[in-house]
Amino acid sequence: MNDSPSTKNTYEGKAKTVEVLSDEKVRIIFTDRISAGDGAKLDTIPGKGKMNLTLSNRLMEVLEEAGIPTHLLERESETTIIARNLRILPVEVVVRNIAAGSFSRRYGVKEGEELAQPFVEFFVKDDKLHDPLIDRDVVVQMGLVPRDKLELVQARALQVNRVFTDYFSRGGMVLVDFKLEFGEDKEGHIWLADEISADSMRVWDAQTMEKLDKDRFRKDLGDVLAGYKVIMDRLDGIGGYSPEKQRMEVVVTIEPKHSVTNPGGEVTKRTLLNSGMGGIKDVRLGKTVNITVEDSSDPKWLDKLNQICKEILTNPMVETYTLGFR
Amino acid sequence: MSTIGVIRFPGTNNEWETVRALQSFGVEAKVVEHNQQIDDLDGIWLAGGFSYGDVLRAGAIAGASRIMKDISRSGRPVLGACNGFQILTEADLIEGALLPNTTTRFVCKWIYMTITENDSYLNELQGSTLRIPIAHFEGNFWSESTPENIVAKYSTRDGDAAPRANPNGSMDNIAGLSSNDGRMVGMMPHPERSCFKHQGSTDGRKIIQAFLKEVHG
Repeated sequence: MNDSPSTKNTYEGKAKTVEVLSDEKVRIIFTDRISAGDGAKLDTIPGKGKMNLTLSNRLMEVLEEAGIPTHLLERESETTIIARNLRILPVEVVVRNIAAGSFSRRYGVKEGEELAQPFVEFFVKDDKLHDPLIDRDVVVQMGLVPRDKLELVQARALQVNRVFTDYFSRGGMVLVDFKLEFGEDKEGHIWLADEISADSMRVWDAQTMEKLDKDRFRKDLGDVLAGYKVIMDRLDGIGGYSPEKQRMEVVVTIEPKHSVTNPGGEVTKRTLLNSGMGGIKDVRLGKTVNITVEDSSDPKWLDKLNQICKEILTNPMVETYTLGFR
Repeated sequence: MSTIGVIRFPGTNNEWETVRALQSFGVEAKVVEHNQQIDDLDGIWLAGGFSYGDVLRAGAIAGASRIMKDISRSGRPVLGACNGFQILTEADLIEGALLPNTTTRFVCKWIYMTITENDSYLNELQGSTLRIPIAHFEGNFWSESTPENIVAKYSTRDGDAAPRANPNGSMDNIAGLSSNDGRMVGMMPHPERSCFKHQGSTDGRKIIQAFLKEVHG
């Protein structure tokens, strides 16, 4: 840190400090600070920063191998990494497999109840408002994240969940939920950012259901770091882990423009009216293209996708398209 | 002697009648596959049919092909008939789009078209009304505004571009257009199917004649 050219651009987070090194790079310092209840409970746990960095780097590397692009560039020291300089999206993404925490409180669902399928929630990053849950339509309408990027982020979060659920289960652990942050680079490409550690996830021992994560601190359940260490040791115990490459399904919805005649829609409309269904003003036929992307690890694939949508899949003069991801 | 290449994509099916029609003018004409080079060609004909099954939109896949970029760069005169016209619009070499006919039916019939004043090699036929067949499902020309490069309109036998002479719903009865530089012409009618007496009309010869004149420079 002594030779940093721009330590003046330093941002202090609750548990991490970020130094901007250049347009491309930042240094992230994992501190021993720990907080809960939006800063209501604060402490310092020696060795926590080092522990979190080790787990976070491990998990990011696993995700990279699974084809999910992350901000991680290199480990600089035991408590610092060099990462991509990104504009962090102003929403936190939470994936839940089992009811716990604010989900249980909000909806009155007993902690430990398994959800029918993984569930994604968004929380707006706003300290004054205490990072409230935000509806995805509100995210879009407030201009925080455009709809297609929000969908991409959600699909990415579910990819991450698939990889981690498998990884942790091999270590005899249950992944209850976790929080992710994403950032975009100058070209608008989305990368997974921030840290992924026991500070940002709930992990239980699969047999005893013992809490191994930051809930130990939140609820004063004893030695916090001992739980963090169990997670690391269990993952170490698996040995080499090669995650499955994560696919991404893209849904391109193509609609005819309203200013353009749509003869197929006209015929369909007449048929619908003849069938006795009244109150129909207009019928328009478009198409849907489902593309399964085997390797989306280079975020630039999204540019290429938009290019083929404009140049091949649609005729922009007569059609519009929207992208969905899953 | 000039050589005309008739480009064949998977699904093109007018290539041999086009070659036969061109040969009757005493020029060299041959079928050129879409993945071949075009360096030795003096003129290019994009023939009709259903390139790549016309998936996505008529002419869309062929329009995005490498050979269309080569043709664009080559500077050679081009005539696209039917699917060839659709390919030219999809390749953005001629403006507009060809939508399904407003009747939602495949239309196969004789039409009259009248050559308008234009900046392409067809201008010498200005005012001529020609009897030529059409056979298409997507011939309904559409553009955001009336295009400048119209070369032919569907008309009555007397040259009146009346709505009743419009077989497919095309904007302004448009049957054919050229590129901005006039080097490429696209039309829905099939000149190669009206070249011999036994076909029922020889009016298509006038179009081919004008095209070949451009090829010979």
